[in-house]
Amino acid sequence: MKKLLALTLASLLLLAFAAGCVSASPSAGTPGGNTNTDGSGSQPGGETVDLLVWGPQEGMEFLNKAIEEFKNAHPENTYNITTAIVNEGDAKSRLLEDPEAGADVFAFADDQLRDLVGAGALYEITRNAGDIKSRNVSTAVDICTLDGKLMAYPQTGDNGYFLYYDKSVISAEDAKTLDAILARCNDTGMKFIYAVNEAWITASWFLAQGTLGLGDDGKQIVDFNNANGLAAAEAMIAMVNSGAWVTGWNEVMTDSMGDTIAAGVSGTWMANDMITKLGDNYAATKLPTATIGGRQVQLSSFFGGKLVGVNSQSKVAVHAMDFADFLTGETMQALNFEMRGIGPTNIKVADSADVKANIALAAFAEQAKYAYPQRDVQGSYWDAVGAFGSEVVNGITGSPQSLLDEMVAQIME
Amino acid sequence: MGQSKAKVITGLNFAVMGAGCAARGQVAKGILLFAAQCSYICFMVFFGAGYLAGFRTLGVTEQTAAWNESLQINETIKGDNSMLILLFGILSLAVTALFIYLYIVNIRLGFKALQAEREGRRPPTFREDLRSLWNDKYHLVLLTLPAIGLLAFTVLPQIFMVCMAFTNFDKTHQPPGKLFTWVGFDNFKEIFWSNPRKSQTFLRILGWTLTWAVTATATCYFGGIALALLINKKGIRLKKMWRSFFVITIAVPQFVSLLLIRQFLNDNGTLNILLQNWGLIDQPIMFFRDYARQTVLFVNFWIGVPYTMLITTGILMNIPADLYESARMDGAGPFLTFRKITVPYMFFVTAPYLITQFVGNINNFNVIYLLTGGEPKSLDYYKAGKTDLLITWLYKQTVDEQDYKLASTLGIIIFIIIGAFSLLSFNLFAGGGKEENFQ
Amino acid sequence: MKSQGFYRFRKTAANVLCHVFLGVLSAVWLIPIAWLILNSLREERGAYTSYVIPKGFTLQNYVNLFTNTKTYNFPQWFLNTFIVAVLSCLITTLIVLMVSFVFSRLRFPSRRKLMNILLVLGMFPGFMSMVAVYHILKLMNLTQTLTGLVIVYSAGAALVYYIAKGFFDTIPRSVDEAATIDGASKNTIFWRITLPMSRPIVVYTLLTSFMAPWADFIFVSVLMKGKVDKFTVALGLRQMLERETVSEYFTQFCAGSVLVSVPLVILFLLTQKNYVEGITGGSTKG
Repeated sequence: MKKLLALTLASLLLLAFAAGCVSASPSAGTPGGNTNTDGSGSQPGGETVDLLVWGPQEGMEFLNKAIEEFKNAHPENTYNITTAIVNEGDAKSRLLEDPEAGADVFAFADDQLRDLVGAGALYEITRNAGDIKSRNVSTAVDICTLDGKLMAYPQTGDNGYFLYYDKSVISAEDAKTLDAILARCNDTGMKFIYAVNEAWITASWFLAQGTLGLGDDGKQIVDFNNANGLAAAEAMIAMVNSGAWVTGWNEVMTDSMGDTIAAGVSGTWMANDMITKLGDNYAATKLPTATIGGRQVQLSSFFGGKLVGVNSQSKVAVHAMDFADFLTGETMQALNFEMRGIGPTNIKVADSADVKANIALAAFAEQAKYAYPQRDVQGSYWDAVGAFGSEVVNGITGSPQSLLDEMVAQIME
Repeated sequence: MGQSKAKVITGLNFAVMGAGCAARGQVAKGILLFAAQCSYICFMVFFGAGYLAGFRTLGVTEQTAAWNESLQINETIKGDNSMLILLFGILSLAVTALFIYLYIVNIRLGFKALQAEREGRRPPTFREDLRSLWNDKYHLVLLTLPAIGLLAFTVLPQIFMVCMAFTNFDKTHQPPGKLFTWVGFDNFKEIFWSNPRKSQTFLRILGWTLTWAVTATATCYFGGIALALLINKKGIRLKKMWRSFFVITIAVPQFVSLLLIRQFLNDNGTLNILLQNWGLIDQPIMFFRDYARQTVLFVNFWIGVPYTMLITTGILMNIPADLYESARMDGAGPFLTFRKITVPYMFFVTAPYLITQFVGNINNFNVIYLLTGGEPKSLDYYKAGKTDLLITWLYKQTVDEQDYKLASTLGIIIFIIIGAFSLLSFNLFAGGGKEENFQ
Repeated sequence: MKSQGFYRFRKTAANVLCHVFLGVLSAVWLIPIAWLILNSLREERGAYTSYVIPKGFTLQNYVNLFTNTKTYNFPQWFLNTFIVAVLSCLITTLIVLMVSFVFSRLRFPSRRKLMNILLVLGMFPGFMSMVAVYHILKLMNLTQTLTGLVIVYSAGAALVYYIAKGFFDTIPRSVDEAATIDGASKNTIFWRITLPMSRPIVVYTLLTSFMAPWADFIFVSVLMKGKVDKFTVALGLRQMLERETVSEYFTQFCAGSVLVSVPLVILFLLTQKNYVEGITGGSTKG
């Protein structure tokens, strides 16, 4: 028995040995200081560079085109650029599972920046930094900057929400106030969509009335349970009970806008669906003002965008930065707008006639004046505010104040 | 062979594994043992030693960056990766434990060979050993491959997970940029008493998880039996067709069927539209808000019933006829027969299935995650919703919050609950004497 | 004989009622499936419709899956999943049968202890250890490969020995004893005697393990790290449900889901009998 068990164990050890030898290859880091050597030097030319780039599935066509253009623009080196599909929302998880196997250049959503930087997963953007800061709109640069350091490239600036409406039902004048929208809907028997159970959207009420900060210890600071916050909550409840409001979000708007829905709050990703659905009646603008505590208050929102980062474990950081720089530069942002209708951060592209004529992007830009950067929002915020929103939609039985207190306590936990 | 030579060989056997065997004619065995020793040394030198050295601290050098003027970049200077040190440290410890065991075996083999020689016996040859592998020791042959798979891909990762519960691995200690280290029982303290919000949420979710598991198991079990009885009833035609209708749902992957059911039952979903069109309701029924818990239980019923139906169909057809015969002789009516024979027999045969189902329901990730994602959210819970089970709460803690320490602590608690329950119930109802009875 | 007529009438009525009830139940069970098929044939785009019957019917959603492979390479994913499913179900079945045979037929010290350990091991929440499994596979250079996926799907097979062991337990030991007297080794008994008598449980194990890879998307996404030509259908189809793409591709998602389900349904219906006999082995021969 013992002898035979020994044989089994011996074979196990042999296997372990084989595994050990495979991993002894230089790519798998062993513990201990190990400087990243960047073989490129400062002189360009004559190199073969392997780059891995992550992007979302629906942006692949654009990305491949950008890669071609980049190769054409840099004939001095041979670039082997491979792409893989990792959506912006998953980038943080995929990267942190194994940073060494992660992409050299990858797109991610701005609210992941703080975690990625905290995990030491990003290269500080130092090459051509001055130009990057000056060619992009300042809000976009701010989103990419943490503790005074530029940590990523702004790529898109259109993540946020605003009002879509059916011109044949709601006039441009009506669209300015929530009361008028709800009244018009009630007159015509149509409905209004404002997904207040989505924490991202609920925020617009609290942000209009309160402030959102980040403490030195990384904990969220909010004041949504004071009198102003309570007024916001009551206004939310009033809207939900107005008779014109319905639950649901994107999928319902795609289907029923113009049929049973007269107006709804959503983002740029809905623009094409809204144009098809509404045709000539298609219109979009900033969020309306709402009656909160007896005053007309402009509803706020979150805004942000997709960023491009360079992996701190990249072995070709210089080339990765050069590619990311190109990918988020003026020409490529113009191309991204042309191919996918993506909102630019580049000042020149944003000022171009085509972008200005885009109704959804114009509405986004208008709302951005009242919007709050999403980058510093912590996880505890989403759960608690979403929970409050759900309570509102389900019908609050107790006092809103005590719920607000609990919400704030959970956010600041 | 002289006494001194035997001594030398015994001594040599301590330093060079397999020497004892090889010197006494068991060459193949000796070579294998020696190869094992060599591979262990190689493993440690090239791989294990570094990780083992850092295992106590889980790394000391944090990653930094240094300005490189010629490249104009802030070059990354890699530090230690606590996660890899932990994982591969455990691997190295495991391999070392195996090696020590092997070493002891080697010494024993050496002495046995020596003894055999003294008594003038011939130690078993390699061929004899091999032959016994196909017969007396056949379990070793059959279990080797499964054991390797389990050790590498189940046991090792699970030890890793257990260890994480004793570290401070979370968002603020995330490799590769930051280090994490051992913190003892701090995480358990936090869940159980130092953080009332977390412990309250934990207790509430635990309560719902148990309610869910009991209800879901019971409804599917009795529903499935009832359905099987109905289809098997005398006078029902096209039994096979009816059965097939229900079986179809098993074959559709759950991520598809659950997604569709979610759309179907949504506030503005197809069912609400139909009911409103038919004038049966004015306001949509909020399946995922007002009745979220009932809805997930019902959908789980939808998923689980066909399985139980299939299984009980098989069993019902095979209840020994003489049992019924004797019952009828005693004058029992159909209802009494059902209660006194069908039910107990059924319960007896399906006990292991029932226990597996219960355990599966405690860990029923798919139904909750794909159907509601734990929603509706509620302020009564900390970062969780009303339908969240411990397992989905745990998943959110890792994926959304990267709070690995909390998640693995939860994992251990779930494991203790389920492990204790299933060991107890299996050995009481399903294990033990029964297996011998059948043979 | 009025009462007998009444009795017969009651019996018929009860039968009719049972059929109606079964019909209603079948409808409840089949509606989501029917709705999936309807959606896969829908001409209008969009993830959601405020009506039930599509306004237009088309097969284009199915055609697109095979022609428009630039963005979503469905045929490749289908092939990947098929390969992984076949290999992992063969390995899984082999492992399950070996382990169950050992626990059912062979007696050796610490057998009981081993059975309990295996039982409990399977109860750890699996995905917590996903990152660890990933790094172990990386040691073996198997990340981003289908081989790695096959290994992961079959490595834990030993944990589900229970049902097969129950089946083996019902095969009389006298068969083994007779064979031993004839000079057969345990090895011969396993391959030549026990396995041929175990068709139902072999089919059952093959079937259940064949189905797993078609449904998992969580571990695949960790292992493949975005390498799209190594995706399996479950992960690939889920890509279509992103916020930006869902209204465009939802009907294609449904079409893809139907294509995944159809072979599984057929397989399941064909092997239904074995499935039942496999899982209820303990009673069918008890």
